[in-house]
Amino acid sequence: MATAVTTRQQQQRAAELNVIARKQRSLWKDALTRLLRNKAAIAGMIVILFAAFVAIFAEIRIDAIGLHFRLAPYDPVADQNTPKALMEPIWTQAFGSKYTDPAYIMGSDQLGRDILSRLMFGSRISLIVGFVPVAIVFVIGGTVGMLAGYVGGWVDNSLMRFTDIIYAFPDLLFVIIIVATLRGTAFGDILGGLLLIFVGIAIVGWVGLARLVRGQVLSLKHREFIEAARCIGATPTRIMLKHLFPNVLAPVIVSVAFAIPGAMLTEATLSFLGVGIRPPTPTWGAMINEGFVVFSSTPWPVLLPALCISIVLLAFTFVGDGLRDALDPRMKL
Amino acid sequence: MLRYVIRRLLLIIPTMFFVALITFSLAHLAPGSPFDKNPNRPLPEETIARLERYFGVDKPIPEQFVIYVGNLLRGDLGNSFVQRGRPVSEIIGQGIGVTAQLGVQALLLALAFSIPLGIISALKQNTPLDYFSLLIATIGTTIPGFVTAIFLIYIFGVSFHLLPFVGWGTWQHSIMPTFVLALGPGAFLTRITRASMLEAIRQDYVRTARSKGLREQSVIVGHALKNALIPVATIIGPATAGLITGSFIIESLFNVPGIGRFYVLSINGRDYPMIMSTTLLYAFIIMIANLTVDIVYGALDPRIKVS
Amino acid sequence: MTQTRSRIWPLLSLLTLVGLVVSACTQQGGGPSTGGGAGAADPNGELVTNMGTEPATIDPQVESFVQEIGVTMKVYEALMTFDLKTGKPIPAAAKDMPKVSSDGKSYTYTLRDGLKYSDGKALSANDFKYGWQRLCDPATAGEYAFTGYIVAGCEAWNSMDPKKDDPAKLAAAKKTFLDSITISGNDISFKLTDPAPYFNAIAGLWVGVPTREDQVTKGGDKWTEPATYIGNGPFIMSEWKHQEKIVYTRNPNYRNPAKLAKWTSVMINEGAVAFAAYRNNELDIYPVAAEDLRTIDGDADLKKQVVDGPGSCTFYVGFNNKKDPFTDKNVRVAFAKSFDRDAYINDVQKIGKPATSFISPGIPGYDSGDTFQKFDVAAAKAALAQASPAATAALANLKLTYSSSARNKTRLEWFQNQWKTNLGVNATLDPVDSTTFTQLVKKPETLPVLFLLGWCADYYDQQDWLTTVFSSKASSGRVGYTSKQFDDLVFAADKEPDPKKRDDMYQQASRLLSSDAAAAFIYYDATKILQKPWVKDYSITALGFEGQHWTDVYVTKKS
Repeated sequence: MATAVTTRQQQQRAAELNVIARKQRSLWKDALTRLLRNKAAIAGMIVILFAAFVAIFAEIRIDAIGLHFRLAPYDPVADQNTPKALMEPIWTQAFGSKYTDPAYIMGSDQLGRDILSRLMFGSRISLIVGFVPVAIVFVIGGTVGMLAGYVGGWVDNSLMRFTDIIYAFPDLLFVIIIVATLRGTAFGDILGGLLLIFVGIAIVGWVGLARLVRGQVLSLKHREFIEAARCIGATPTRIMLKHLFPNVLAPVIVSVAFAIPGAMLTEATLSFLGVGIRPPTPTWGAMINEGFVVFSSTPWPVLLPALCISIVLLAFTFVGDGLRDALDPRMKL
Repeated sequence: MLRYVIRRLLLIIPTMFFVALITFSLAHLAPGSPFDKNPNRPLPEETIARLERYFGVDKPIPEQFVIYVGNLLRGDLGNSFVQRGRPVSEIIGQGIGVTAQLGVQALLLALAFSIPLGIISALKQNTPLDYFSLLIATIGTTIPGFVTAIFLIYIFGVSFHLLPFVGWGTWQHSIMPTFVLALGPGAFLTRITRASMLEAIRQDYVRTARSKGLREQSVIVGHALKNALIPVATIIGPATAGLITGSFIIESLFNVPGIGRFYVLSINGRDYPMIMSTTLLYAFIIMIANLTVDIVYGALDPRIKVS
Repeated sequence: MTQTRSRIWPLLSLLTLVGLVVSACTQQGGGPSTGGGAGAADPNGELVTNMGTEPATIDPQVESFVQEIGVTMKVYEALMTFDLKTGKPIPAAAKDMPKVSSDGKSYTYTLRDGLKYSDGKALSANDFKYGWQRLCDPATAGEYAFTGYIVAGCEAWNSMDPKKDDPAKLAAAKKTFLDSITISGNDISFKLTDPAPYFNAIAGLWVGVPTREDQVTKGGDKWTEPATYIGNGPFIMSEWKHQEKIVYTRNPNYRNPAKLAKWTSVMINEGAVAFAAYRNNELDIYPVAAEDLRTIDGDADLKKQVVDGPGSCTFYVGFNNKKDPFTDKNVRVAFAKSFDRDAYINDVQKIGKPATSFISPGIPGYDSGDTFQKFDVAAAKAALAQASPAATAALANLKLTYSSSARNKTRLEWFQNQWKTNLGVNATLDPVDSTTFTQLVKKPETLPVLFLLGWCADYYDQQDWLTTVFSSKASSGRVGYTSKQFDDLVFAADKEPDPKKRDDMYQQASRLLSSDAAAAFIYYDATKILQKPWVKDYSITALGFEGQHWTDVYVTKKS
């Protein structure tokens, strides 16, 4: 027994040493290998790629070259057929539903619009809202965090005080108040309200990232390699970009990977509460919001978008988990 | 340590001031008065003007802010505009009880399933049991509460009529909202418990305990678990704050008369005193929770120094 | 202020003068319903209904919402009430119809003998006087105080600033008002500013119920809690769990005890949730929403539980007549004729009746012959083609503003699509929250270009509709419509003593409104409820707070 334990421990130790040895060769390559070995993350990536495919090809229209291709069976807004409102998905026929129509595979909504098509177009908003605000967060949070950590002084102080204030608000409520207040203004009009949603999510999100980067930078800035760079006369900008940035990138990537489903969730919640982007653009959250009205007579207009959100959010979380395990095996949340 | 705590407590004051300022400005930026209620049967304009004069909402906004802060410092939260004549302190007092009950139930439930699940998961790492609990934990952290609530309402309320999902009163009423609220923090706690347990059982002191020939059970409970629960303990504060400040959607969905639901209603009704007081209360809870984490963290783990 | 006053004014005249109105409304299918199943009243019966949301206030002299009035009128009784069938004012706490002085400016009511509050205290004429005093007191800050302005001295006192005005002047104004209400034994006399035959209807409103001075003083800000909300009506408010429910129990001291022992009003604001609760037997009555019809259709039991009643509102697409493109009558006409009202009612709205004119059925002046605005794509397109270049240009940038809700969103997406399909016009949807919307539509400066709005009856008279909403003296600039011809007609009709001539003038005005397309009328609402088979004699009326409405309903033993 004791021998067995020792052997196992030795093997583990050897494996760890091996990891350390390989890490010196290439952290990124190694991380990629680890990521690709993670089945859940691969499944997540497949789902995300599929969602992206659907989002892109739901409809492609370039009038200049006369290109018009639509993967979705119907237009999600204009193809209203009110006498065929609230059809249920075709598979419910097997369970005795009298309200199915082969023309609407997943059924139709209150105005007789095809739910499948609306789901397909809805994926566009979800993905855009997942990526754009997070990109804003990445740029602003990264820059401010880096400056606060490295330069310190008033930048650091104002960041920390500002963070205190933002952190004191329940974050979702803060986004809701901002969006609800500003959506009546000209700013709220831009891109059908999409820009406002981006900004709302980003305002609350960037402080978290800035704090993360600041913390990382603080712990790195007195390390030997930074001191060394400073000694040989590297400018602060160069130190930040060339030396600090690559070293804080790993936790930042992990944090961003989790921020994406977070932003999608926020958009869905806003739409669910009726303060999302301007109708009639279909979004999953808005579909749940409208569908909830008819929930007791037919649950599908709610269940289907709820399922879509759940699957895509799970996919992003799996990828996020995978990235974290791959990039930083010590973080084990 | 004491100086640190005092400094943090003092910082709460300016932070609260800015929270109040931001909330007040945003609340008044939104158009409409508390008396613009029904577009299809509007009150005569003279009546609205008289009511606004009576309640002082016709004054310039900065002046109103000064008045509000002055009253607040004297401990007067004012009366609700929408629930005419009811003091805000009373409405919040009533609602916070319900919200807190819901929050505590949810927290207890979350702890009750997350800690065992996390421990078992860590001890049986990479077994189907581990994967299963990880999947549950991932679903719990990922799927929004309102979506879970919808699925539950459909299954237990609409399809099988097993549970009431309207209102508040009996313990049956609280089952679904409690469960939905518990899911998020519970899943998060599961992941934390699992992670810190994994770390703990690899520590030298656990190996030492084992090599001393202690029974596996007492190694786990007496040595590993004690240390593994430190991060779990620190997360309880923010989790509670999150449960109390984040329950408004669930409260609205299940018709639970807690402050979250009042808050949503008061934003819509331009009930400025309610909006202000609830936001400030939320902010206060969150700040205290964050402070508690830092203190508890320092107290539980002497290796960590607060500064 | 005159406008304010005019709202409830002439109409009431209608009530008494023409003897009118409500009858039309109740004929339509209001009245007590007789559900299936025999059985006598359960003396311990309880009725559970849904009031939606927590009432903002239940102070009789402050409130203005139907749901709030519903609370007050279960607990209090006014001097008069309304006949369930005819809508005419009839005596309630008063023994008889009042004695009216020869100049028509003094009304004297005699109280019934032996009236008591629910706690056993005797009710006196002074208690009624106190109710009116609270109504007109500016410190009460009531929302419907203007209904009392017909009583001499009320308007002057009520318009003062209770915090800043000279206390001596306030006291003088108060005294002037109090002098116009005199008490003698069981008699209470009101001195009016003008002859007002409709005063009996005002005496039947919730605003003058006898709130009790001792309890109001005792309860202070919180006097509307059960301990001090003590009334003289059919029920006692025995419990109010805020945001959850109000429980009423039968008032044994009421002169005509209610048949129900208990009435519970829960507060469920989500329709779908309320419907599920109804099906779960947690609610006895449920107002049906369009979305529920399929479920009801598919369920023979539910189908039997449907009861129809009248509504009191007309909904329309509002055009800002002062802004392009709707300055151009052609554009307004085009929009008015461009959507299929029948399809809208059948497939989208589902409950209600298509409308091509303003006044709703059940209100005098309803004009089923006015079909100018009927759906006609060709005519709509032709009208649009004649629009001025400026108006046509403005069509490119059209915003459709509405009060945001999941239901409205679906409805407005339907309109958006109709205009796109039938007129080739793209309107952007502009949802705003309901408070913002109320604010936007009440002022001409902020009135949106295109919006969805409704009008609900205050009382049964054309004046409340045509003059109040569309004349140039409308109490709020609802659409910015100005037509001298229309104004002349309605102002003359408001004063016309001859009922026939008056109706004719209003009809001309109403048709003018339709053909000028000041607004595009969409539908008249209606009430459809589900009622459990054990519920009997539950009445649906436009007013909804008649005394019999509370006392007659009963439940048989639930089986």
